[in-house]
Amino acid sequence: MPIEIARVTKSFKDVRALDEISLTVEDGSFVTILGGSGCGKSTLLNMLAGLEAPSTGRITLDGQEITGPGPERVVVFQKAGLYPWLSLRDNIAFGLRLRGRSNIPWREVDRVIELIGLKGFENHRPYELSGGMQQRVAIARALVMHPRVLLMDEPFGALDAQTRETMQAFLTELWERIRATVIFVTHDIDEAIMLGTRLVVMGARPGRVCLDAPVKLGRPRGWDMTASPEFLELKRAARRILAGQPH
Amino acid sequence: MAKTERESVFALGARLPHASGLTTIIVLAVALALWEAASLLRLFPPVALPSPGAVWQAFVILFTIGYGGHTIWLDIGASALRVAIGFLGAVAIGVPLGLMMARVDLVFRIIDPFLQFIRPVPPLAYIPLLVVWFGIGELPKVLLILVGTIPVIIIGTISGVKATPPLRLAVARTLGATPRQIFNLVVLPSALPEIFTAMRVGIGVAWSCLVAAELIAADQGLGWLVQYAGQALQVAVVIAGIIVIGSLGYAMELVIRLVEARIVPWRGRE
Ligand SMILES: Nc1ncnc2c1ncn2[C@@H]1O[C@H](COP(=O)(O)OP(=O)(O)OP(=O)(O)O)[C@@H](O)[C@H]1O
Ligand SMILES: [Mg+2]
Repeated sequence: MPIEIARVTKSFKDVRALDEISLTVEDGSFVTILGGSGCGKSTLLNMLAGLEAPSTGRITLDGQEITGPGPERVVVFQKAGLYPWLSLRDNIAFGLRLRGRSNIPWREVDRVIELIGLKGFENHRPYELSGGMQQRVAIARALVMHPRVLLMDEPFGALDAQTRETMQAFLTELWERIRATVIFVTHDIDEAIMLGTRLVVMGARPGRVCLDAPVKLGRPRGWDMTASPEFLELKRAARRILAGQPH
Repeated sequence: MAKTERESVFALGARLPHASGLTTIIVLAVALALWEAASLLRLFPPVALPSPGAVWQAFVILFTIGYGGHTIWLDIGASALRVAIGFLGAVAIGVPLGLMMARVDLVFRIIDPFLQFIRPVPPLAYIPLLVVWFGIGELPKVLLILVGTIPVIIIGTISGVKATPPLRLAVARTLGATPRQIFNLVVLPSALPEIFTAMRVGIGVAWSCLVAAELIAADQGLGWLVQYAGQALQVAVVIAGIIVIGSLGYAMELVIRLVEARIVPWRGRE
């Protein structure tokens, strides 16, 4: 069963941040949400995470209304938010530890550490890692929870271009393997099109969905696809919306 | 404020690792020379400002023959013990109390008025009360230090809890942490750096309460020594006593810093 966002609005005091949004997200899809600064992307994602409640409307997962955070919907934020008093390994196991100290699947934790390419850094503290490494740890911390839905709020926004590209490739490859539902927020047009199976573009003031289109690019994805007609057409449409022009 | 001070000291130390130690030595040497000059020129009567040599002699006497019937080791032991117990008591009560105040609003509203009330009261003012309630033994002396120190510890603990970065909380919530887990596994460690800052400030406050505490019918202790020698106009002994108090206070702060470096190694490195 999919995620249903049904006529959801969000206002902060009198300011309307989001105007009636309705979306259905299929299981196993990779939806990218693209929008300018302040258009309400984080607000929408936080409601999916259960960190905030909609002002009106409802969000359901498997028909169950989302009323709070839950480990089946894990979030990766723009900043890694690691705990500096824990080693890399313990940071990754943090969510598992919350379920009980005694039955942490350490072998899987170590497998994921290998997957993110940080073998040998198990006992490092977060402040001994680079920004890209920290963000990989944050993703690993989410992955070991085996979430149904992975919510990502500009997870690569704070990284330099080179690291960002590596991380995008890493995430794509990963998703092709685990096939969790991913909802990925970004304000980078190329990133949004390259990663997603479906592109949602939001307009601002108040936030609303302006474009909702499948991304018809083959897999595996490669940067040569940025020259394909499908890519350029989506990019043009997205650009127009971000520039605030009618579409 | 303590933080920026610390950072600036660190920045300086980082840039001039050898020079900063050298600066300290030069400053001390110049101060000593000026002091020697002032006493040689008799700018002040020798009773009021004894020469460095006279103070050195006082030191030697304090450590060998002693003053008031015992050597200074006894005073050091008595005072260090009073300060340590008073300070540790303030930490043992203040940290849990601060945590509870930060977590439970009702507790905060009950305790905070008392806290705000005792904060500006100088420790000297408690002496009559403490003597009436607890007599003239060790208990009122230790309690005076504890009461003087505890507001710093409580306030530092509360502000440490309040300063927990929201992102750390959001991460724990989305991973399914219960409020109790969030408090124990996220808020508590996040508050540690500020708790240590409070302890470093607190150990200084504890020492500054010592002289007041030893006004309570003491016959030993560094505070007692300084007062007793002062009444006898033994200014050299007073100065020697002050130097010992300052050094011990500094030494205890260094111990706290060592513990801090072990327990919160991430401090200032995020
Ligand atoms: N807690 C809040 N209180 C009041 N207003 C808020 C709050 N959170 C968000 N807003 C407002 O809601 C709107 C959308 O904010 P949101 O953070 O969702 O934007 P965004 O699309 O994530 O932007 P960015 O790309 O800069 O992260 C903004 O106008 C913002 O000022
Ligand atoms: Mg945002």
